Amino acid sequence: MKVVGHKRGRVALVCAAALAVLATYVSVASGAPGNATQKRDSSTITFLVPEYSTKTVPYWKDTIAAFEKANPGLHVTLQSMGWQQAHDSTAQMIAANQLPDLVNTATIWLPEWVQANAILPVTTDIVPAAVQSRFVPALFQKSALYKGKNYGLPIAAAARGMFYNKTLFKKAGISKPPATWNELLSDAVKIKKKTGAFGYAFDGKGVQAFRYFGFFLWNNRGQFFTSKGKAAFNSPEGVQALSFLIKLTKTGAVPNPSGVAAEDIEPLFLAGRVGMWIDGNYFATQIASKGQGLQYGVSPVPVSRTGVPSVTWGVSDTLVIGKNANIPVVNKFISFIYQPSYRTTFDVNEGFLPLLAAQQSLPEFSDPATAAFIKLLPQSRFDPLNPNYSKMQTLVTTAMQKALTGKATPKAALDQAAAAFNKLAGK
Amino acid sequence: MSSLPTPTTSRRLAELRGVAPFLAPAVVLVGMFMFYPIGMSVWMALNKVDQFGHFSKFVGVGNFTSLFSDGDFRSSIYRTIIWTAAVVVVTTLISLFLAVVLIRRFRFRAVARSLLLLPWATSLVISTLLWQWIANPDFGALNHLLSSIGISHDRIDWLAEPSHSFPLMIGIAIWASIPPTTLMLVAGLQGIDASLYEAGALDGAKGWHTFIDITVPQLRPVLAVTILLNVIFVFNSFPIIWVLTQGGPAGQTDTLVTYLYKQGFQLYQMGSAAAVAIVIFAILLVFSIVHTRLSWRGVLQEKDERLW
Repeated sequence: MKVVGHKRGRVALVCAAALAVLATYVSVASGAPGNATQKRDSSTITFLVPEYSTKTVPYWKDTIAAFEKANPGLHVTLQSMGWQQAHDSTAQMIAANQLPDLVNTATIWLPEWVQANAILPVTTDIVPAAVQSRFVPALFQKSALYKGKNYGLPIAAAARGMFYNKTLFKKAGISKPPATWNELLSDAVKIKKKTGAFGYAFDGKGVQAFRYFGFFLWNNRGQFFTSKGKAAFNSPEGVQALSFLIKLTKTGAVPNPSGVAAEDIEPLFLAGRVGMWIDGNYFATQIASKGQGLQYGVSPVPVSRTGVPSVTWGVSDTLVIGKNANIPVVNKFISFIYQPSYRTTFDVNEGFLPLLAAQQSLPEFSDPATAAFIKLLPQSRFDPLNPNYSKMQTLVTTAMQKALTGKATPKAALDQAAAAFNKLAGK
Repeated sequence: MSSLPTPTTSRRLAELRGVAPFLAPAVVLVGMFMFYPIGMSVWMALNKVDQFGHFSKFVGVGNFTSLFSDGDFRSSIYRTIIWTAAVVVVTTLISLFLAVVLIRRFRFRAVARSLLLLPWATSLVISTLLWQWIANPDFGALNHLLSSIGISHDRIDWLAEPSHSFPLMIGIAIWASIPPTTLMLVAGLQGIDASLYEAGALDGAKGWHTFIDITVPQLRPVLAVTILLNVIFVFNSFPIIWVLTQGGPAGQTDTLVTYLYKQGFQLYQMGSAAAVAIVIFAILLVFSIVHTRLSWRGVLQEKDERLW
């Protein structure tokens, strides 16, 4: 009897497990793209944030708690992820039709989300006119503009510039930061010779690698894309830019770019072993906390020759609204988080530049480094919005690596990448 | 009478009816989690598919022909074979040695065994991140060690040059594969009948002969399984290469799996990525069949003979 009972129990267990699996399958299958079956609670929204630093999630938890306290009955569910996973996770959520109501995303990915019909353009229903007018006008109007529509709110803004180590400059006898490529090259070599430290460093390996080509492309009057969205990075300007990077690397004054990503170079700069390094203004926050009194300055990125206008690569991340968003709650939440006090805490935590007009005069943004970057802002150009932008990044990074390792000439490598890009981008 | 089913058929039907409820869950699960995804991958490999899973065009074998015309893909196949062969061969040899040592009784055996298992205790991604720090040219332990014992005072950039990074990654993969392999081999050694060794000793067999003529043949089934599993795991291993070099520079340390990832999740050619998956599947399938034939046939026949 005991044995029979035991067996029957096991059979029941197996059947129950199979049923459970089947039930899950049915519920997944019925949630196929096209119909939003997720049951929505009218008082709740979900909010997906990437982690800028360890302070990001605690900041949002506190802010959400304050919002829920100020708006009894409303709830915000916070989801977080690392920046490395942000793109792929978001794409997977879109494919599963489960994009949260609000997503903090990289602006460069907007065209993809728009093409997938996953996000809503900003209207006064979502962002009241009074809130819209709080922003620095250029940031609100320019950064998320795609095909004539505004697809989100700026949520983080930064600018990039060249950080230089004043102590190494002094030791090498350099009086001012280089303004042209030739000066950059000779200064880098001087630093390496006289101090042993690397003169300049750039990322040839990580997710940012293509930018370290782009800084030179843009400061040589080049472009990544034609006006029709085809590849333009293999122009003579692009070939000159890549050739210059190779020339610079061959001097030995630069750590092998194939072996270092931005996250490897930052500690090197902090340790005083790199003379010049292009990074965003948020790097100043790292220097303040970990640089142990490092003496540094910030200058514009050098241009190919005098007379070429200097371009700074601006950064903006965007808060986008999922197409199934719970508009009334989203509206209240946006009005709440875009108050100067909350924004300033966020910007100071993460080292971003102020987004709201009311913030600019605050003492939090008056230190020399931040002031230098706010001064660079007018020359900034943002990432071009192209639906195939991330494919370009991979292809350009590969082209850089091919040319830097001598597997191809700069022209051949860029031409090959351009051909591959135009093939992938053309339908 | 003749129109009625024969007794055997009806009995079989009744039997089937009896076992069907027991088979059904397994059939459903295998169908859902194995055959459906495999079928889907094959279908994807024959289409152009974007990152949101939209099938835009049927291209037939187009994805395969463009893959095989890509030199980087062909060198990835070659590199994957080197990677797998090097890791599995060296791992098996070292593990076999360690297993033979660890089965003997000696002082601190328990300590030695648990030390051996340590690399396995951490997730591979985390231990690879540690290796990334060890290999860091400026702050890493590896260059520090080399310079303090006087081998090289250069700033060796381990992860920049494929000629350095690929052997280093093979080494890390071996380091990570040794614990599970040794564990399986120790279990296999413990299963060998002690009387065989006694008989061998009576016949005057010693050390090396005992190992070659008793241990190795007796361990063959276990060795066959460990090699098969290691080949499959190592062939498809992603974390070490992805964390350390992302297959770079310019695809010069790509294996098929990192190549697949780039096709799928950086260039968003899901159809092409599925085609790579099919190629991997085919290679591993062929290997498994050949390997099983070669190394198991004798074993199974022996067992059968013994049964009769």
